[in-house]
Amino acid sequence: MATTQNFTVGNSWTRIASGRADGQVVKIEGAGPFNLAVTVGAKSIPPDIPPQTGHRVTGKTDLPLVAAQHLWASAATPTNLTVT
Amino acid sequence: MASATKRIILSSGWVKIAEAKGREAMAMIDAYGAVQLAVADGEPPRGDVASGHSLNGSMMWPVKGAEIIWARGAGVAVSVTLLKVVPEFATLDSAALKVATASAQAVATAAAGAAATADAKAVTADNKATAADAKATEAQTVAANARRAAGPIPQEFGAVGDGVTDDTAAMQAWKDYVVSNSITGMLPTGRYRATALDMYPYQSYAIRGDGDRQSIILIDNPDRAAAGLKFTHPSNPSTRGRPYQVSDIGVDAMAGTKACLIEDRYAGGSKWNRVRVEGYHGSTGVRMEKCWNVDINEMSVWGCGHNVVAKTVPEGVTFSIAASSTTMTASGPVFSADDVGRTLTLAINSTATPQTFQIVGYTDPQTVTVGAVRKLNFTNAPGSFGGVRGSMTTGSNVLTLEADVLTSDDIGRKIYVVSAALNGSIPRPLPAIISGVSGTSITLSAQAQRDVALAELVFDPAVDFGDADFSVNERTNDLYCSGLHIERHRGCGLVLTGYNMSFPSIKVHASGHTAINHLASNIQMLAYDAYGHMDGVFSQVVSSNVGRILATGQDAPLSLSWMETMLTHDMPTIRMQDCGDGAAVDIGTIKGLGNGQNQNAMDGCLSTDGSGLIMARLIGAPGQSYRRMNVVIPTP
Repeated sequence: MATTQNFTVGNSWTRIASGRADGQVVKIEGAGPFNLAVTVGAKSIPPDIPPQTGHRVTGKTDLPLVAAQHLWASAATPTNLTVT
Repeated sequence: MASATKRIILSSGWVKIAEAKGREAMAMIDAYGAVQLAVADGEPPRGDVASGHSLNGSMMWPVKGAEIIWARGAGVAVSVTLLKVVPEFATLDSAALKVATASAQAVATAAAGAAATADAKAVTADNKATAADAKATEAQTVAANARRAAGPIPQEFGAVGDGVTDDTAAMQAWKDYVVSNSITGMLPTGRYRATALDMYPYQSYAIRGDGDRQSIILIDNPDRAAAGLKFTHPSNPSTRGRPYQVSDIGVDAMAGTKACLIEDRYAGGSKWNRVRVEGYHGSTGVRMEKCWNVDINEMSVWGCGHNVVAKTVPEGVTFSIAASSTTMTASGPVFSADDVGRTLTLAINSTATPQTFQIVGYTDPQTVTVGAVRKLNFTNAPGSFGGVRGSMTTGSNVLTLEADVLTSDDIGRKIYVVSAALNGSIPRPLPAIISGVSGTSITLSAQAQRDVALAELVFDPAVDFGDADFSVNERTNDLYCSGLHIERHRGCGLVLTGYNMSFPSIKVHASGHTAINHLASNIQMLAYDAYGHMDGVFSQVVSSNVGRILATGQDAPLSLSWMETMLTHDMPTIRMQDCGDGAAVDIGTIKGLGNGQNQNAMDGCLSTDGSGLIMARLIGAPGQSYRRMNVVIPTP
């Protein structure tokens, strides 16, 4: 069952979603520009690349995540995200 | 844990940024400047690709099969994430796998048929042959995909497997994923370099490779206190793990590695199948303690092990002793009065088995007397003194060596001090870790429970099944080891203790004629406190004539069904020492014991200090084709 959550992300990586075995799509919408990165593993440890790198997003995007994949977000200034 | 999002700084040449590896995936690419992109199957873009697709920003690019995405753009940063848009492998059930496998087999069969047809008409049907080749390639790809579908592979977590790249993070993420889903992880052919991996089985899992010479984990870790593949719980070593299974892999040490290659404490129900371990001399290959119901099937351990000689022979000095003589001479001054009691191993040439002599009398710096005569002449033979010995007093953790031969580099080594501990009232080896070195004074992690003088020492055995804990619920119990091959180690090959241990086939074989260069060993195999039974077919355990089996401690009911081609020396081949009541070593049959030696030396092959019984049936001895032995021989 999908659940919508809100996050405020800043200049560090914040985990905003984890994947499921069925590869369900995660919908992300930001109030401003933000960056995304993905990690893989049983443990939830932030990406090893600096915040504000990775994939730049303005507006909204959809990503299919599978089990053990974790989605992280950062932004230059505190930015509200809506994640489902 | 691994970051699936990679940040890559491009150059003017093509750089691989994403690879499908036989799977369907979606590559998410974000270029922080102007770059060019191109795709090629399994190789860089062709030389005639003058320019690729332009990108300055984000795009999604689906890839599959052998496709690789390449990019170029000097100094531009690119972020890439490979998203798995197909259902995760973990959710594929066995039926799906069977379908994939059947598909691969069907295509392969079709390809084989087409190939046969093409062969028959090769001259006139090149196009058919080409089609057959294409189908065969397709069949291989499908088969590879089917195999990968059986479980995740490290490459999906960022591993490279080229033997150069540090794959630690990717391998850890792969293992973590396999464990968290309690599935089988596949380790494709490759050389995966890692410093240390937490392999603890929080849940049952399995790892399966392509073969012990194909799927290799390279341990690159100079920390003597560390373990390369650590199946022990990372924070609470006494937490017994879930059953796991490791099959068809190799574990190799890179130069400079001092870490134990495989460590497991408190394993429960684990299985090792067709695993090869290969390390440098100086450290332990496999260390397992307190294991319950562990099955080891076809494990070979090459190299590893450590020994420290009491005294080194100066370069160029050789030794001579005539057949039937007890006087040994050296080509230069090497002996001292302190050498009485030490052993010296000589090699006649590069092919003959070395023989060990015990020095019983000192004459001058170039002449000593040895304990037993031989039928062989040694002329200008190279030699090595035996292992260093040490003394301890009750309640002290200081080991005093007979010679100043250790350095600070030895701190962290495992050591066994023979007969320095007690199990009830019965002496047993004292296992400890070296924590300090100051000249001949060695500080250990454990205290002696009884006084010992010039006790023999075992350092970092190649395979360590020893233990310090003797409570019923803590010790190794039911270790079944079918096909354990320990070869070319230095020092002690195997330390063994536990309940009900069975070794249907085992070989502990030191370096043979190269033992001189590899340093002699006093003890090839140390078996102690074997409650229940410790039985098996021990083949050539001491055939190299360097070192011996030492059985000691409570009970010690060691059963060796068959031994062959042992030669005698001043140190008995099998020695029972400080054993409890009822201790016995039962050697079903010995063939070739004492071959080439006189009767006294032959009898000296089997020795007890009166505390244990050795039983054997001997065949093939000189002058006696058959002899039944039931011997209790006092200390020589």
